[in-house]
Amino acid sequence: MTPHCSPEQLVDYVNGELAAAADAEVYLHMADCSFCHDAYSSELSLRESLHNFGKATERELPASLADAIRQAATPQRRVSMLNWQSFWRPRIALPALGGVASLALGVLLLSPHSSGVSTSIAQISAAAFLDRHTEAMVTMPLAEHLSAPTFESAATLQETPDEE
Amino acid sequence: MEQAEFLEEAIEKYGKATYNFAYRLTGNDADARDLTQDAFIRVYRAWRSFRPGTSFISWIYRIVTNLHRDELRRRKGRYLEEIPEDNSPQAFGGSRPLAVTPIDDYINQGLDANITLALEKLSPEQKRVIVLADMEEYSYQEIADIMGCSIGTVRSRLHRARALLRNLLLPIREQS
Ligand SMILES: [Zn+2]
Repeated sequence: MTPHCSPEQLVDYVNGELAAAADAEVYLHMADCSFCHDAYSSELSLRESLHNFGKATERELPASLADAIRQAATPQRRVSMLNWQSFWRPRIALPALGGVASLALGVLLLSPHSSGVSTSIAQISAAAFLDRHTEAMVTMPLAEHLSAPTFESAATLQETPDEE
Repeated sequence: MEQAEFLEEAIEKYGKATYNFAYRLTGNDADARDLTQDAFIRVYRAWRSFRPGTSFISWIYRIVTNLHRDELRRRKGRYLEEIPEDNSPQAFGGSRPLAVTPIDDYINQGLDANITLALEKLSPEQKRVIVLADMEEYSYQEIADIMGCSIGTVRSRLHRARALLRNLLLPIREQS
């Protein structure tokens, strides 16, 4: 009779990891050796216990974890859900302040309170814009690079009627 | 496929398995959540490097394994890696099969508690190989790929781990 199977051989045998010839050798040996067959049964039972333990203790993926993964992967999707402390992080605060500033400008221009004025602002601004340009053309007619007043200077002109 | 779609499909198909793997390695919900989330974020960022036809689960398990290894090193210092964790064992509260009689359930609960205790006696590397080889039934080659080591290393870790578990668990099984 061949020597008994080693515990290592039996682990590999149970896991189906022996090469074909070695696998056949263990199989044939166990047919004649109850000692090795018992050791094999114990090893198999241990593996089954571990496998069943794995199945029995399996957990569902918590929905809150799936949400946390999505949020961490794509944080920009969920800005509205962020708490106020995280608002002060520059990558959130700067675009948000920009948005607030644009909104404030829009409200200023469109609010009913100033609607009458804003019409005249538009008219006066356009007139002032053209006046400036004409004036510049008169004083520096040959300056080809001379451009119309910039948006910024037009914007400052808009404020003049408010002060009147 | 877009990146967000890729992430959604990955969570849908492999979120549960990844979370369970992480839970088995860490033994608690909070660490398992952190590990799972970190692994998915890495997958999300590196989504273009995934080759269709290769095993996604092996990829994300490898990430989980590496993150877990790094975390243990960070917590304990790298030379303690092979020493079993000394944190107290956690009871698993997972779903149980419905078709069990109360007596079977009682016996199973006892055995499950013993397996939980026994797994805590293993080193992190031994525990990983038991989870992969015996609970999830991966081949030695697949485990070597996931753990980033040779088949010989997988084999020797599994042999040592099973010898420990055999000594700890088989006498209990024979009693019950
Ligand atoms: Zn024998």
